[in-house]
Amino acid sequence: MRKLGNKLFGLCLRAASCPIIRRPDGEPADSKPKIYVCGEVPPCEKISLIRALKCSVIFSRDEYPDSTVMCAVGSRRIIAADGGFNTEWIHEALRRLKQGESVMVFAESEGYGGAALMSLLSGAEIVPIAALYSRSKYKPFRRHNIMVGAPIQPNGNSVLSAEWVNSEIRRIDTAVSAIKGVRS
Amino acid sequence: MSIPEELKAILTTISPETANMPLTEDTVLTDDLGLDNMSLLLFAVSVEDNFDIRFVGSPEIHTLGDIINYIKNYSKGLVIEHENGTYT
Repeated sequence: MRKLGNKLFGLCLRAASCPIIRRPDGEPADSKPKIYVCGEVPPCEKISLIRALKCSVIFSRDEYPDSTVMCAVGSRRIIAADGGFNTEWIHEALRRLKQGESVMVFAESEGYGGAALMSLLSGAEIVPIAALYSRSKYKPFRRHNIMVGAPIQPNGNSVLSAEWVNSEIRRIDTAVSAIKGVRS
Repeated sequence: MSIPEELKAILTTISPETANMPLTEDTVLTDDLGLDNMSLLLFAVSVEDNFDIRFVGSPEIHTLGDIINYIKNYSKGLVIEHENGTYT
């Protein structure tokens, strides 16, 4: 019964969440697949972002979404990331990028490091995004603005190392924080 | 270059501080070498690329010996994908 309730709630969220996407200087979106990175946002916003940008999303196994989110997003869009030596999720994400589908990574899932690695291996741009709203006035079913930041080109001159990943994480984090600053 | 030597070269690239650490087949990647989740992922992807293998399913790999065994088993065709999506 609870599962059915979650599914119904998910369907309501699917119907209700329809954000407005704002791009820098009103630039039109090109059709190339992208790796969207997003800072921490509430679950409703995650659903809105994934659906609005029509992309797959990477969730770590620890915070794998419940049936509400699964129903609202569509299970086909979800890629489960495991730690350790399970690299299937990254190959699946690369396969989808190659097929022309964009992929989204949230700060709290595999983090920005996974996005940097995917960008290096696929050549796809990293695009920082943020939902613009005031935390004190947050309303789940209200139409929110999604701000799309300037794309970050893959840094292809580096060898895979912890130092390289850390510098890429800092680069992405700075870009995401710059968009967050727009709303305050 | 032997498998352990190649693994050591990859490890040194990913995490230069491991260059002076004694490496044996019993060396635990996380506890002994201090590799975090991201470093493990980089290591796994680099090993796949260098040895032309794929880590399939969720392989139980904790030590350098586990990786060496996996690479040997993979090249012998002992890692098999089944129809139900599982691997042995």
